[in-house]
Amino acid sequence: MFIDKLPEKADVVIIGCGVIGCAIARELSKYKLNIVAIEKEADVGWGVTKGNMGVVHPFVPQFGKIKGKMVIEGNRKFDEISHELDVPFRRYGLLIVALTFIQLLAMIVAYFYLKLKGITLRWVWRRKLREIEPYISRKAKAALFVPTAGATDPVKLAIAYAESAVENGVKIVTNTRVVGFDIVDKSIKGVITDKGRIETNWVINAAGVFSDEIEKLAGITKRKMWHGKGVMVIFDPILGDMYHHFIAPMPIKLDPRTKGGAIGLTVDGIPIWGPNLIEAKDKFDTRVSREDIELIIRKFKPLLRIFHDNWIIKYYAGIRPVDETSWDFVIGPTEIRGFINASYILSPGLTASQVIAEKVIEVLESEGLRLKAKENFNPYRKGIRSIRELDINEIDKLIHENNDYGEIICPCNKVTKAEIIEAIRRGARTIDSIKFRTGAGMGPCQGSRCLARIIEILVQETGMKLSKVSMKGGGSEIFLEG
Amino acid sequence: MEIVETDTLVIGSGMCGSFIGIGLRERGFRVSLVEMNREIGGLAKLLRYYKIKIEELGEEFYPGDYVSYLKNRIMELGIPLYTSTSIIDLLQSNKYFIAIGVNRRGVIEYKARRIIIAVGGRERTQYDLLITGTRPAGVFTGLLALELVDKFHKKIGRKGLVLTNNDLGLEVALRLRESGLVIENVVVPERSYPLSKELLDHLSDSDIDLIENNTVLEIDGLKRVESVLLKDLDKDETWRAKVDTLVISMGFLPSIELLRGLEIKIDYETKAPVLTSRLESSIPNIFICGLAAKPYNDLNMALNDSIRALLH
Ligand SMILES: Cc1cc2nc3c(=O)[nH]c(=O)nc-3n(C[C@H](O)[C@H](O)[C@H](O)COP(=O)(O)OP(=O)(O)OC[C@H]3O[C@@H](n4cnc5c(N)ncnc54)[C@H](O)[C@@H]3O)c2cc1C
Repeated sequence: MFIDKLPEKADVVIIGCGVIGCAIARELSKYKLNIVAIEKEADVGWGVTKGNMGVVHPFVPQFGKIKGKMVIEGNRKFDEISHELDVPFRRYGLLIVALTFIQLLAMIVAYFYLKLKGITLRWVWRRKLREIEPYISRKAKAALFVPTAGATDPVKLAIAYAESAVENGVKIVTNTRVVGFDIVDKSIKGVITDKGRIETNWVINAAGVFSDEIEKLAGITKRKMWHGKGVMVIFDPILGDMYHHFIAPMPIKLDPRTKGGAIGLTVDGIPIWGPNLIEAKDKFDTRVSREDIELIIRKFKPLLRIFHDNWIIKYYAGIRPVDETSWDFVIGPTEIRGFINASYILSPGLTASQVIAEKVIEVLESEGLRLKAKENFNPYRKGIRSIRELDINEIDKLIHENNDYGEIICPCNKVTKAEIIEAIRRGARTIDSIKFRTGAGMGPCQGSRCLARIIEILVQETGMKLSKVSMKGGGSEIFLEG
Repeated sequence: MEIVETDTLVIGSGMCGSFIGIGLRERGFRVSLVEMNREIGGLAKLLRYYKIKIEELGEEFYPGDYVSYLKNRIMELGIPLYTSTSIIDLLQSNKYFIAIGVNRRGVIEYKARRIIIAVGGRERTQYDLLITGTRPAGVFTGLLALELVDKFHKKIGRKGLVLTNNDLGLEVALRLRESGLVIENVVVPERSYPLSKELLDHLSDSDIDLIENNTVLEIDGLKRVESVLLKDLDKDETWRAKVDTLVISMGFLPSIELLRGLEIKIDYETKAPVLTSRLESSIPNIFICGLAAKPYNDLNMALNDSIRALLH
């Protein structure tokens, strides 16, 4: 699926294979072009994209900004995208809840304001609210219901864009880091990586939290990045029946430490709470502290009458790349000819990914790249089949076609050997790559019951040496020599 | 699709389920056993030093001997045993329960009047214990560590620390030491019961220090563990251990995946199914035993509690 050897030439080089780089790769693969996407990690989607909450936002309050416009269009496009790419997507709907009188007043204003902005929403009074969310706090006075809010799986979406791009001719080079550029007369002539040079006139900076460093490598220095960490907390799937929508408190004071966020559900129906927003120390600071967890629980727990927050099964964090002056996406050409930004993509970049990709195509065209549509572009891509959504007759049939479907490897999430083998066939070479593709190891036991079997299958299928087996690429090996 | 009818279906043929199945057969019941692994015995297969004490038999077994005992009895009694078969769902009709099993040959429907869930537990992870910090490679639960070492004959690290409150953790430390991993310390936040003198002696013979009343707070390291932050609970001071491996053996939580389909009642405070003193769940004729019954730190305790409740 992905390659390790850098090609010598390309019409367009995409730097970074997060959800944005992958979406751009797929969008560009609709045209007759030779496209190479370069990723420093062992797999796609491991940057900002991995530290994401998976919300397909209906809107963000900054309607005037680029992100404010793109998120609405992105949300609208999600049914089509998730269908074409066979990526899980569910529109749970969002309830913005007022617990206090002041929140209620603010909500009345918000209601008319959002209506004016064309957002589909309904006012829900206390009684109706209790009907649809039986565990909602008794203090809840009313809520705004926004039906279009949804959930997807961020890394699966990045993988799906990537697989579709590769199917349509893009070359994705992993384990390769961009370290410089060949620039002549303020025009891009090539990209330098730790695996050599690739000749090109066009590069797209989709390097997420490293966007600023990529800009600097090209001598672009006018922006400054602020690193906004967000922590998410995941609970046991057994609590998945406690509520059925995203639920957020009506914001009054925008306390920067607790700004935004919601009680949510992953696309698989598992409770996920967060994120908060605090300053990260650096680009790698995805540490989670007890204070982060407590803050999130303290903020959101009052929304519900009961919630058993002792069932935490996982927490993690991501870092938002923020352009300090605009707090907005940076998409467009730069003073270096051929260097196009799709960078500083903070929230809601996941929701807007397809729209951002389409915008980048526009920019490339207006900057002078000749685009000729392919006749044979295939928009469809299939995900890995699992037994989870099937009835027993279908499972029986599937096992008869491929008896690896009869061997459960991950008991928490009912992931079978067949899915793990298919993930490996599609390029997974690390434990995390298998985890993100199949869900194996993402349940309450966090892989403690399936890791040994997964390693065994990985080694059997690839002939890989045990000493090379890692959680997430070089440096994270499981077995240590010496 | 295959259909199997039986009186009592025991789901999970580990240390507890097998023994209960055998006991019920001896008392004249029609029993079938299901096991998701290729072999029965569950956790006992991974252990070597931990002594299994069965009060009913008045006997102590080494784990290997215990597994052989179970295997022999199952054979002698001719108990139908379905290995490499996972039960993925439980349903109820008006006369019997249906357990949906899958194996490499297809789906099997087990029809039974009584179900005994003995699917075991999962060891507490760093997340259950709210150990925070980074999330690198090199953090393992105790039994996973043993499984990796047993299966692949490779070291899972160079220098490690074991966090435990029970005998199992002592065995884990000893065995990892034998695999070549240097275990500097075994850290015990608080003993959940008196630790085995034999294992403690063995530990000090192996030059492993036991540090009591300390616990792990944070993990550090981006790709692989680089150090862990500990806290001395007596002195209320923190300290740091430079290790590349953290092994956590802090007891078990019940596996509850199977309880969802029939909405068997769960106590959300204890994270365990609601059970009577006979281990019957909120659904009559479904019993839950062993590590699946409630959080246990000790295997013998789980085993003997279940034997007492179900076979007496
Ligand atoms: C806590 C949090 C929660 C969020 N929740 C949501 C949400 O619910 N909904 C939503 O819509 N958005 C959300 N977002 C925003 C969303 O995650 C991002 O907008 C999106 O993932 C950005 O993707 P990206 O491709 O730009 O960045 P990345 O995913 O970081 O991709 C950039 C890639 O470039 C690679 N790279 C960097 N430097 C180099 C180099 N020199 N050479 C080669 N490769 C390089 C990186 O390894 C990385 O894979 C959230 C963000 C955070 C932090």
